Amino acid sequence: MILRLWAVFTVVIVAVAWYLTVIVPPVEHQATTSRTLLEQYRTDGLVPEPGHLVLSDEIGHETFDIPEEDAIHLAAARRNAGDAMEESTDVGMTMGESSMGEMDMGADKMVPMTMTELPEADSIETATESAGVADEDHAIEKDHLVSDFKEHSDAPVVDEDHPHEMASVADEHGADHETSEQESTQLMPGLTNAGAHSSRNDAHHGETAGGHGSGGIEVGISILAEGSSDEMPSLIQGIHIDHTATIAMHEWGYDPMSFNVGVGDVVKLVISHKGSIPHEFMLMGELGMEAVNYRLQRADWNLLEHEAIFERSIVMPGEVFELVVKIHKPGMYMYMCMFPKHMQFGMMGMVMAGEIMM
Amino acid sequence: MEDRTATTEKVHAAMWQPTNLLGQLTVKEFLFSNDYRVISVKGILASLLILALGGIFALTFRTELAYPDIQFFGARTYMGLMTLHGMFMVFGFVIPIVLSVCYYLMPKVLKTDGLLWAGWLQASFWTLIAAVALLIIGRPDFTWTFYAPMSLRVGGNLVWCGYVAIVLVAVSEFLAGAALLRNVFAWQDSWKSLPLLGWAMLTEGGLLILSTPALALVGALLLTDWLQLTAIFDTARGGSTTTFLWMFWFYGHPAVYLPLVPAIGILYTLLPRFLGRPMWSRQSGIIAFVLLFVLSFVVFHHHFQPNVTRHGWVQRFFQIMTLLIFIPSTLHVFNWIASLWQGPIPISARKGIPFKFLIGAIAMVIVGGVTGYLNAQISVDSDFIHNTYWVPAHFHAMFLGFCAQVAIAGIYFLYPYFTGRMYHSGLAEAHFWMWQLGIFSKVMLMYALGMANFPRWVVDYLPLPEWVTAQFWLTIAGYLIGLGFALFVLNVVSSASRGRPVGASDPWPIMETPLPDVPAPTPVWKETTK
Repeated sequence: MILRLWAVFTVVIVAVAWYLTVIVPPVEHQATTSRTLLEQYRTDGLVPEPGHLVLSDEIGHETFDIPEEDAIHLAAARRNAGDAMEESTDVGMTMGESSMGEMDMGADKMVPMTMTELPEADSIETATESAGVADEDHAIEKDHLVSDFKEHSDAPVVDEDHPHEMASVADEHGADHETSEQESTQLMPGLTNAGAHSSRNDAHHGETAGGHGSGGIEVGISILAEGSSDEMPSLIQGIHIDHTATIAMHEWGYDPMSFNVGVGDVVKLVISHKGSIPHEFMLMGELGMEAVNYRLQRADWNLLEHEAIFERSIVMPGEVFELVVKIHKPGMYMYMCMFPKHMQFGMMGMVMAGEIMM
Repeated sequence: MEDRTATTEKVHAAMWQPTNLLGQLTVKEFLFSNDYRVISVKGILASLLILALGGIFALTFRTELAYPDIQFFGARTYMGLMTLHGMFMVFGFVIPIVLSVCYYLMPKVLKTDGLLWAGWLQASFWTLIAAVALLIIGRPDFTWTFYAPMSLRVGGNLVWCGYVAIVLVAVSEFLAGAALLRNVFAWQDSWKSLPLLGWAMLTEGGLLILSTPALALVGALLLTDWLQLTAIFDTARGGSTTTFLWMFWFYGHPAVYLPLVPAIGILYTLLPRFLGRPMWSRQSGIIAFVLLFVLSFVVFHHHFQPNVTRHGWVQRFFQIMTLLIFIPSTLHVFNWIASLWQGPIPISARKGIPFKFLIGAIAMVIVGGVTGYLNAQISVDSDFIHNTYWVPAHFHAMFLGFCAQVAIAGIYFLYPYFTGRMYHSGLAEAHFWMWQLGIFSKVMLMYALGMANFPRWVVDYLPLPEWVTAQFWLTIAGYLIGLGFALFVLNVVSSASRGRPVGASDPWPIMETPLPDVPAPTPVWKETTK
């Protein structure tokens, strides 16, 4: 009797549970923890308005420098990589005294050293010019951004003389701007995109996109303009936009995760932050991804974020900004948030260009 | 034969009286009686119900996974099914069923008339039922490991049911552990003479008592995090995911031994019963239980090996400890093999379905254990098999192949003691072969998919040839296991009224020669020499 009751009961329970889980549609909206600390801070007035982040003198800018131990490894790697790099000594590291020089960095030799791929500064200039950006535009853009900073805070604006202050050690210590940029590229063979050293294109840091070697023909994609929706029309005068792609970032992902473009297209990306914690927006080429992958697998190297074609290092919730890029080569370009673990959680997407469309 | 039966009696020394227990019980007695036999049979039947639930969910998403692309439902439904499958199978089926079988065996093996603190076991049972009910109501989709902060972000407004269910599971297991320890410590004789089932229950009780508080804490903190009262795990508000990993897996690793240890205990009880001779070595069994107990608390990092938030030496320490698990496991397995090897296997054992399931379980624990050698190593795990199908293959071999099969052996063995009748041996035979074929091919295909880097927890996949074929046959294997289970349920229900009555005698006599009405099977070697 009990066994039969049990059998009937089992069938009923299984049917009910199966109906609830399979037939009844699952919840559409996930119950998120609605208030994050950030929202709390915002209501308390502790967070600046979206898009109005300013540099603070109180935070030491060396925060963004290469850590000392990493500099030692880089120096050792460079020495190991051969005498081609012998001359570039302006990196301001303590490489001579390092006892790490003896360590076996053989693995580094595996990385193809494509010195020839390094673009000349001229070629980059040509690239950007051919892409249709006039120098006047840069001037306008820069002035505009500087005034933007001045408008919103009393904090010091990044000086025009040290535009790369946050960008890399090489820039900070190099006397000649262009030279040091190239050498820092040489310094990390295989870690950079084919050539173009990424400048920090972050508008908040006072440097604009499209100007000095950020992307280009060698990388396959170049940045023509970057700014808010309001200032964009003035920045892209005379540029024909082929496509407009809307990218929304949230926890945890980009929407859409991939889209297709044609080679030679000029694409306007409208990037909006729909989530609730700060994120980053980076654009990278395949070689750049390879470089990140390589570095991630080297347990003794910290991951530096200097490989991007474009980077906006902090995007606050609610912020919207636009980016105009020109695609030169077929290939895959990735955008992602490189805050710790965010990419692993899914914050990445692909721009598929030309022959490898998905 | 006389001599052997006498040995059995001496080894086993139990009062085994087949009765029609289930036929005599009223529903009220069945639900609330503190008699150890009732608690045991109730636990077994409830676990089988939960197995049916978990199994139907598995078959549902297996059907979806048989072909690439989405056919029936999307990722959200899939994750819900996967979560409930995992939670029901781990917390609701595999742990309770082996414990329930042990509840019946313990008083007989430890020579007490009943279980002490049976009320606690009763409470443990009902707490678990409440947890299962909450899971069905809440239908969370945060996987059975509910990693925060993901588990704080998913599942809709009823997701709190899931957190409360986690706490209830912990309470249920803690109560069971306390009662087990109480019963073992009631042993009056010298500890040297404590039967191996007693040692298993001692280990199990210790594991339960020490590990479940961590699970209860994890469940409670998830709830308070979700209610915005705390921010322990919620990274968006300053919590730490690493804290979650450490706390959850401090429970989680001993937890995977929670079904294993009682299953080993059941095996140590039933194997001599069928062979008619004591185990090859008692000493090694005891040592292995102690080692397993100690090691189970210092290996939990291997569950999140690719996570690097700890010093290299800590990682290496946990890797070495994980590899050391081989010592107790091997002691156990070789003990069983040696006991089987020691002398002839009686014809009664060869024809007995429980014995067959025991042998199948030993085979599967070897399959799952030897491949566990790869999981244990940081390099292999991090680079190749972590979060691929290799991992579910390993624990399905252990949980389903070993623990569940031992439990099924225990149920077939105890069947005459619950109903006074024998099960239908044809149906049981079919169940046995379906499960062997199904479990073995399922586990092997999962290993193959793991080697082909098939990721866990995906509802859709690319139509790669090495994935598509394996997934299709994996679904077939799943259906085979499901069909075997259906036959088992049919057998259990119908044989209670139609089976051959056993009477008051021993339903499992040890016989060297076959029964008169059963023709003796011709040994294989004789056939080949003809």
